[in-house]
Amino acid sequence: MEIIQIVGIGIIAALLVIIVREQKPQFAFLITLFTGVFLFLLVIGKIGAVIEVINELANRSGIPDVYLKTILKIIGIAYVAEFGAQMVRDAGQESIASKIEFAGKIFILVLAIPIINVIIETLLSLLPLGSS
Amino acid sequence: MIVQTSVMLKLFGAVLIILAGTAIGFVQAASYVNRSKQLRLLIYSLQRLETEINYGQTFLPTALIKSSEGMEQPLSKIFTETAQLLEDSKELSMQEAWQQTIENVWGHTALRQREKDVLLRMGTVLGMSDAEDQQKHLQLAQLQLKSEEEQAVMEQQRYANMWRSLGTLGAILIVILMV
Amino acid sequence: MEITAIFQIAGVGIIIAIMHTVLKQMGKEDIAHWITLLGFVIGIFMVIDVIAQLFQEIKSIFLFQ
Repeated sequence: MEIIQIVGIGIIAALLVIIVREQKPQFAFLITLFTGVFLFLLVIGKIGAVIEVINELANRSGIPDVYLKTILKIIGIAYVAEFGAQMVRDAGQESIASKIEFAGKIFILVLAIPIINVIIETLLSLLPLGSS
Repeated sequence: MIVQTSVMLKLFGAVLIILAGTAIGFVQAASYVNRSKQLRLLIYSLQRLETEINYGQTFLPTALIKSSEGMEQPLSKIFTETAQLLEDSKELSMQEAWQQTIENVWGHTALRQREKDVLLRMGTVLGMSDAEDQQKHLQLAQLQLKSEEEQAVMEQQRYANMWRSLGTLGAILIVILMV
Repeated sequence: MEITAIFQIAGVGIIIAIMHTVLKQMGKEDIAHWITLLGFVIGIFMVIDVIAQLFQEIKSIFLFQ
């Protein structure tokens, strides 16, 4: 029942933030940051297990390794960018947060380009137009 | 059992640190309180010395000892030791004896450099000229010390409390960081 | 890294807030600001530790090598 643990940590952290924010907003932000990272750390082990399973399935079905790796990287970038943007937004820096999200999107696009390329090539070879 | 003892040990250490921090704070606060108190006593004794010189026409060492009565240990030493020095060695001038004693005793008092300067300047005249002149210088010294005292009282009100709470708070901070 | 660090950061924050008010009342605002900065740096050190751990974990799980 780790969910109870996580909810407990969250509630305690929220209470502490409320207490500290009155006098020192900086420390309130530190607590928020710490709690966020800590909860992420608790959960990331689970994600690791899921990814292990996916990896195994992909190996058995014979999909090229590159695709899976790319997808994993994309998922990772999405998580990290989301997390970072959220934290920066908590600190009140909306513009930096949106830049982080933007950078995340660009990296995802860059990583996805090879896959898109392959898809389009496959499509083109399927179409009768390609023979002309 | 082992876990329990280590927790007890930690608790004991934390209590020790907090006590030490509080003690440091109180010592710092006490130095401010002592300063204003000692300044007040010093002014009283100078007044008495003035009366002794002016009306009693007493022999200087006796006047010094008399004016040191009613004062506490570190301060009264300035007067009694000077008197002692004057009695013991005849070739020492009043000024030299006064200077020597003040240098010796100063570390034990809570007073500062400015009061020391005032007293040293006063010592150069003590026993050198007639009663009227000495009285003038004594009064001047008293006036200077009085302004110092007012300042000391103000500082005491401001900083004594601050040091008291700061000592405890600092100790708690250290404990929190060490847990 | 344990949850006690949350309480540690909060404790440091509260103590430093009290110190700040005490020093401010006595008109030593410059020192108060320095103390706040010091406490903040200590807190950052605690947080940095966890963040480094998290990034290490992410790197190993999502195959960024």
